[in-house]
Amino acid sequence: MADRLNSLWKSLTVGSRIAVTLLLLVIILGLLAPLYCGVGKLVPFGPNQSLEYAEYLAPLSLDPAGQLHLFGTDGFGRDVLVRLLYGVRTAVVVGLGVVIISLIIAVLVGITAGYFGNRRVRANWMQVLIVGLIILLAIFYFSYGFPITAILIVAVAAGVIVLLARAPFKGFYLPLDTMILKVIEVVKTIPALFLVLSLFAIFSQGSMMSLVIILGLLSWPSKARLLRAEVLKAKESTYIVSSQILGLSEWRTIVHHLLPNVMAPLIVASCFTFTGAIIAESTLSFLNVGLPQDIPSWGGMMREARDYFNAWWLAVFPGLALFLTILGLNVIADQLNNRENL
Amino acid sequence: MLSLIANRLLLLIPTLMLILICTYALSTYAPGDEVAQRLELAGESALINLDRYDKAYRAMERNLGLAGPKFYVSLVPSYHPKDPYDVVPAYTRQTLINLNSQVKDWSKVYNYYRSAKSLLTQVRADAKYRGTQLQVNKMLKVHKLENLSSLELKAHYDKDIAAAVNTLNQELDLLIEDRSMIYPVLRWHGTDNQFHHWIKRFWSGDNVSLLDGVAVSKKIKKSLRWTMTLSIMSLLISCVLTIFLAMWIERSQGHWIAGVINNVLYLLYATPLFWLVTLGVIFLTTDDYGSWTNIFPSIGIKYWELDGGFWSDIGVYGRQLILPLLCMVAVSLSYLTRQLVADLNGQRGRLYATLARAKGVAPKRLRWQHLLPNSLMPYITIVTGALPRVIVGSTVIEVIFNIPGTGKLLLDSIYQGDWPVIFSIILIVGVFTVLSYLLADILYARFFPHIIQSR
Repeated sequence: MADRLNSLWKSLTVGSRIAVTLLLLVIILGLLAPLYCGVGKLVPFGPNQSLEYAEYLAPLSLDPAGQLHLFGTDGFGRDVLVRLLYGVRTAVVVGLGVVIISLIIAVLVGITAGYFGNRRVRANWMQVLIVGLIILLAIFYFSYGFPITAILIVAVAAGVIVLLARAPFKGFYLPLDTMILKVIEVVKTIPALFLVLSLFAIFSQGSMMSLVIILGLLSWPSKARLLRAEVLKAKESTYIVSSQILGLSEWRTIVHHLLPNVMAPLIVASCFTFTGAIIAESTLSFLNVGLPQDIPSWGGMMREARDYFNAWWLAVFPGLALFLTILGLNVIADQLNNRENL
Repeated sequence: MLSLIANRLLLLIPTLMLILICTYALSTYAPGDEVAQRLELAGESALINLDRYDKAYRAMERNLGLAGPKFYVSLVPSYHPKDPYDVVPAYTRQTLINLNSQVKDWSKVYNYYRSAKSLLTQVRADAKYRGTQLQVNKMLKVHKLENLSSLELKAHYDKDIAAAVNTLNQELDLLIEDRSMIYPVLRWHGTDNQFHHWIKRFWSGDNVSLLDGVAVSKKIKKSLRWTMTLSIMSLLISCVLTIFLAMWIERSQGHWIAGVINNVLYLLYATPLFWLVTLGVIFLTTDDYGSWTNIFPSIGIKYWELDGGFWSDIGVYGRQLILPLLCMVAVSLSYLTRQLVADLNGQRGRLYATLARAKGVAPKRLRWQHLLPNSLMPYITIVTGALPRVIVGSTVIEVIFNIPGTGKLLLDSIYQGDWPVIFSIILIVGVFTVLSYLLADILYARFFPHIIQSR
């Protein structure tokens, strides 16, 4: 492991090395912020702690209590630097959450579409009918407060469906690939920002969780398509064909042989998903429809600069943080992309 | 080609249906009671005359198409009432329906509601209880407040009323059964349902804003002109600029200026639009940081007073569009140019380019007539991808600069809960997005047929 990391590090260009170091440093500083920020600690301010008579202090100035504010304070007398550091946590949680959710969906969907394709899974009409019926029934019982009944119905139906696979009904191939491609096309047409805007407006209080879930549910299609293309390529390769001929189970073929070999392009794509997610989050917070006000977010901090033009530090520092994060991720993604193409 | 278009059009229908249904599903979750809000606009109040209010409510609900089942079909428990729309307002109706899921007999629940309501009317008619009527309203189980003990009731109100409320609530308690198994029934409601009326209302443009009663279509049309001006101009400028810039970079590779421009574009590419705009507004529109930085007109804190026609308004406020345009162009330029340069470099290594060079095609001719047309593919993606933005513009830009475009209209409506406007805009954006994807496919098929075939 250490060897691999070492050789990976040596293959990076100077720019990427700087980017990786800076990003790691900022992430560690941000994640550890509660350890050294707060009353009586190294940096004596909390993220939501309003200091008296310390509104709109310029950077490098002292507040009435004689404490230094490196990046100044905002309109509520809160220290900008501390909020910036806590903003790292918000960005990391949103970015990672969205990446994880979208990766899980993309892997499931992409492998299904690519590996099973249109001519591998057989079904008969009876099974399709039962699946449709069961979905309706399960939703019905679940929404009227009978979750156990719903689970029982699904369990029994699953057994029936498995048994029906041996029944002498006329079967056909499930066009999984075509169906998934159509779904991807439909999901891609959803304008994410507006969906999030309207959802947050309807369910009034937005939370980090719901934002992450919505963004995650919207950002899998491009990755799924990428993965599908990779799987289609890998399916023809000798190692997959031989593992099939050897009689390995499909599960083992997919998890142990296919997945490790097709995941590489997804890493680059995940970098872009990450930046996309934090841009979306900060844009929403900037428009005041995103996260609750007490969660420090770079976009939310920049919103305050709009109220008071003289406080340039409220616009410059959070924006710079966002900009540098995106830049660093772009540099890394480009580097990975180049390595892959070599 | 034709079969491809037909194929896409066929796929368009379910997609559009899905957009309609999803938007409608969202709209049913919108908080607040549209009927009550409209009645309030019209000056009706439940406090003055309950019967008259209820009548007006029913009429308004019918009129708006909000009285009726939510969709063509419904899957409900067998005891679910078929026609509860006689009970108004919607909030009380929902409470009764919830109550019915415990009682499982609509006629009994309905009887309870009738007696509760007659008790209320009786109390309200009595001048003695003028100040307390709302509290009595709350004590009935219809209104979900069940934790008042009879002792409290007696302390606050007349004994007779307290007794009557108690009897009513006790009768109800007797009705409530243990939760036994429920069975679903599938009901077909025909065209007299909320979804049908909702689409009809949308289609005929009958929607009016909840805030000021102005027709939604008029509001959107007005804002659309500003958004379209802004976004089409920025799209055109950045597309044309990109081609020249990218061709220049491609020509003078290795030159230090090209390197600098490349790096600047790389940095711009990582710049979030709203940050660039905020910086521009803060540093370039005021005197605060030295008078030489006051380059652009300061943005209006107040709303634009749009009284003249569109063209005279643009004469007055057109100057305000310069900075937003610059920012939008800068950000899209960075993305487009990087894409185009990368693509041009890729094309340069292809066989046809080598052949052309070997044949002695002049470098300029090679670039403009052979490389460029072949690398315009990202353009189609980006231009068609930007088309939905022609409708809503760059919301952030409009909000920061107070430009009265559709994006700002949407955001203002969201802040104020003006649902008819919100859902109209969402629907239009959805339809436009789908149409622009169709356009992209058609353009691909026209200019890059090999891509469609390989899909």
